[in-house]
Amino acid sequence: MATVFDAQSSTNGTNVTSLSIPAFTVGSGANRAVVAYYLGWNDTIGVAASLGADPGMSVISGTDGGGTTAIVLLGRITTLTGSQTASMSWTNSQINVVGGVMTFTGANQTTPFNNGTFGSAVSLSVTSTSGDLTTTGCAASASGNVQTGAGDTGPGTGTIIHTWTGAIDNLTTNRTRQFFRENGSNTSTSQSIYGISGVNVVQAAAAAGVPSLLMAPVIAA
Amino acid sequence: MVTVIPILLSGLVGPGTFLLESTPVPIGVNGVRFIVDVSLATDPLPTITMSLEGSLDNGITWINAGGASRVAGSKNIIDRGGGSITPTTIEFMTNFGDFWLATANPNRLVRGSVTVDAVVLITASIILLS
Repeated sequence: MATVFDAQSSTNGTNVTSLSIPAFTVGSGANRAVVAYYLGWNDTIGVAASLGADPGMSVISGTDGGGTTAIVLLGRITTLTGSQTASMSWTNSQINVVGGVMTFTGANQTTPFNNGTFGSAVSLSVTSTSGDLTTTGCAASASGNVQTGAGDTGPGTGTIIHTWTGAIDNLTTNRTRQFFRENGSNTSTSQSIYGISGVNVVQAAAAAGVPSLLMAPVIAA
Repeated sequence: MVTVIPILLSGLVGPGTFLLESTPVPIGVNGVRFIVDVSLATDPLPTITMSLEGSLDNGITWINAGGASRVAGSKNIIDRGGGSITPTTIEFMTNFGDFWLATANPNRLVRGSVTVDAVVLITASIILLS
């Protein structure tokens, strides 16, 4: 079962320590997982995220850019469906911050994420396997403290490169921007990328086949 | 087009919760910006919480339409690279979620609140975006 994008929502903030992300509809496809994207300005100290009544998400290994990129991804599996709200919080007020969430179906329920990574270039490679789904969160700035944050998805066909060019809506072919936020505007302008974190969302294991049974004929006495 | 809806005119308020009463959202509105101006507030700031709910059915049911908060603390925050800056507003903006994406729905209402846990001099408003 391949991993598939399901739904998303996001909010951005100025000078805040938490965001409440507007209600969005989580689908009912099997094997669901959620990823939260914290695209901060200065650090990732104390970042926490949750979806609806689920327990809090965990930081996805390898995605925490700390004070270098101020970006981190969190995630978990979920059984929630229908209208849900997500929330995110952190310790230090960020002059600009974007919080986003995406849900996926077809995700492995034992090991939903692997190959987490982060970097400071315009491109980030995420290692995957055919049928998985790769996703990144990117943050950029222009004119000092104007921040853009966005999340995308891409196929899982080996080593997938997610490239966010100067205009943050200009993505590598076959990558799909799923949310985008620029403070005070919905218009993307030329940006200076300062960080990307990414992860591979692992597909659910293929269902085992029904074992065939060899039945010995019953011979009536 | 933007529509500015005041919640609090400039003045000393709090502690308490101040409501934005249920307000119609015109067709075509696809987002919101919620702004609390703290430029005249004394340092440090109290905890300030902003929240919005939206109704798609003229007020029968309500869903989360966005929110944000800032814990009490100094007005000065650390800038990227280590400097200190003093923002003049606390705000959030969104145009995602089931409420803000229902741009053709004529039955939308929005309501909300600002909560402060100590006396503070602020102005608060929301701006409907389209």
